[in-house]
Amino acid sequence: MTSITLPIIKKQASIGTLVLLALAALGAFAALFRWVDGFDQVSSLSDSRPWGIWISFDLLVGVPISAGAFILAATVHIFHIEKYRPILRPALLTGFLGYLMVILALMVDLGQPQRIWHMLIYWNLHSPLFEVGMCVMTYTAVLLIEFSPPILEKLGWTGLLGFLKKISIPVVILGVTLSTMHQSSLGSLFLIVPLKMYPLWYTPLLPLIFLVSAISVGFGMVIFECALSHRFLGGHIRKDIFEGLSRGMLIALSVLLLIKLADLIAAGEMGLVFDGSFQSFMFLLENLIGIILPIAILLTPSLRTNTAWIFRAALLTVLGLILYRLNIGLVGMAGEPYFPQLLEVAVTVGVFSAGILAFGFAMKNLPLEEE
Amino acid sequence: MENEHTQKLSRREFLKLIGAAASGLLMAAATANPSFASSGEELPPEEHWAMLYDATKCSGCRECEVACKSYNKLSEEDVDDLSGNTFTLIKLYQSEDGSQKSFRKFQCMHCVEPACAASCPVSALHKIENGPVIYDSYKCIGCRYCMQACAFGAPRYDWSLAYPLIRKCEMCYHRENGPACAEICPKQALMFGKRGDLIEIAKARIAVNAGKYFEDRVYGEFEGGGTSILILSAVPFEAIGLPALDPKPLPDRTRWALNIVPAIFFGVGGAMAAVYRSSKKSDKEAEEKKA
Repeated sequence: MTSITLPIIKKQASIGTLVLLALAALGAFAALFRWVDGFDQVSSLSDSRPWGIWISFDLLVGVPISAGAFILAATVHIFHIEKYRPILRPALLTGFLGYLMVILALMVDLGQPQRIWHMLIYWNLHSPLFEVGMCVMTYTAVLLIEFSPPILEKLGWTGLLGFLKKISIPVVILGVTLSTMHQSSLGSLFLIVPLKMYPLWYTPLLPLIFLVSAISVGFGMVIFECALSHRFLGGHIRKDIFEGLSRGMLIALSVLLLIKLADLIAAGEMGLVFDGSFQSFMFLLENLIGIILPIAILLTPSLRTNTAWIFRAALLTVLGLILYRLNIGLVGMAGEPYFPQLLEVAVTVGVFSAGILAFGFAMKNLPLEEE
Repeated sequence: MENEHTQKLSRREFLKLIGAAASGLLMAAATANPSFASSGEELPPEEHWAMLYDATKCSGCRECEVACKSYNKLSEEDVDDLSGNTFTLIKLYQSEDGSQKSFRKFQCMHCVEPACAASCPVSALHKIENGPVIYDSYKCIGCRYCMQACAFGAPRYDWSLAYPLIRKCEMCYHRENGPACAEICPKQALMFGKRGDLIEIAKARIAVNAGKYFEDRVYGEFEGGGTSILILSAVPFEAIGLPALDPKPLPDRTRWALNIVPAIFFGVGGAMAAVYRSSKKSDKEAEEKKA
């Protein structure tokens, strides 16, 4: 075990909490405004831009950054790599909160949020969104079961705890399966818009690229969380865990790079990458920041064992994924120019602030370190 | 006897007459309203309700817009595009030098394989057996995936509302004489009928007026798997805002990904179970060795 200092500015927790509370309150105000007064008042959404940042960020980023939960659950419970057990519960917590945040944001985005349950009774097996919706609903329930042990321990409900332990393996397997399905189906959502999406991003491989990018950012987020829990709980970060996670991230990123390259070459779109258009710039930025730079860091012998650099590579991976998903949802989609309104951004920021607050609260109050 | 016989005959003849009249009436009704030909079963696309819009005949009088607003009880508004209150719209396209111009009628194209219906997660949009793509507003959750999926920008929203619903042309599927817009058209630029018949009519016009119509073809016969709104134009289709869709229906692009979902479910699930069993076994062996 090696103790390390992370590049996070130390500050008074109470000030941070107050800022987050204020942001969450502003988000709640914006959401209320939308529910009472209508979309026009808070958003730049229009008929030519029916999906804005609530979909492109809250859904398309919110789901993959919660992927660490299924990756670690599989690593510890299925592959029996016990080394990662100490960080499993924080990862499950982030995953569960992440999905709650996605659902919360959807309640603002949907035109008829009170009918969100309609998917349970009016099925459409031809719709990728139906698959995503069903998987997200079921997987959120799975995450609640996976994450409940620390809560039950705290409450002292040993009976239920024992029952959940008995069914834990099938539940974990179901969680991995559901995650594979909806992480990829999120990409399938866009298969139906071949003419609306810029060719650099449109490919039949969208579901595969979405899945692999979700896995890479899942590792990235767990590295990020390790750093956070280190900060909240103090103590040491186990360097072997950090390095193991970074190797997983490196593999996922390399596979992602190969798929994207092969796809560009097969489609004969290499010319578009360097044609100097705004789209080509955004495409290059997304891949430089999110794939090439982190791979380069993790392949450099002097950096790849340095915990601070691993942390930076993870941050770049997360940033790159955010860029990729915003490019898919906004930059690469045809439509009139779209720039979100202040209150529209406030909803997104507010939802994330509430999520971070809940994470901090749970970290302090629940027994998240298991033996 | 003879009398009786004649009487019988006449009665039979009378019945025949009634029958002929009835079937004649039915025929007439079927031409006026193809839905009467439907027995509730799904009809082949050539039997679907359809409209042929010949842009070269359109004078831009916009009577169709007025008739649509009146039948669908839509409020007047000054817009230059389809909207939550405007289901059809005539636009004038002009080339930069002014040498070419053409009208174009915008509305839902009532695709043979509609992307909106395939994408709707709650089946609120669906194609009824005789062709029109209709919307069950009570199911809609307002996700707007249909707006994203539609290549023609047909589904629209009223963004001023807090709980909007999708709004679009439903081809007046409840209306006895078919779409109000087609009925009112004074220039017969818009014809209502069965899709198969209208394609024939369009091809006949092309044959008679060689070189008049763009690429000597009718838009919507094959585009995106075919549409029920068929369009004849003298100017290039792209010039009047018609997307260059290939014949592959849009839902086909998603279908393969959905078809492998069961395989993913059982494949990933089975693989995870297998890994679990083998890793548990090797764990046990390792423990036994230790002991």
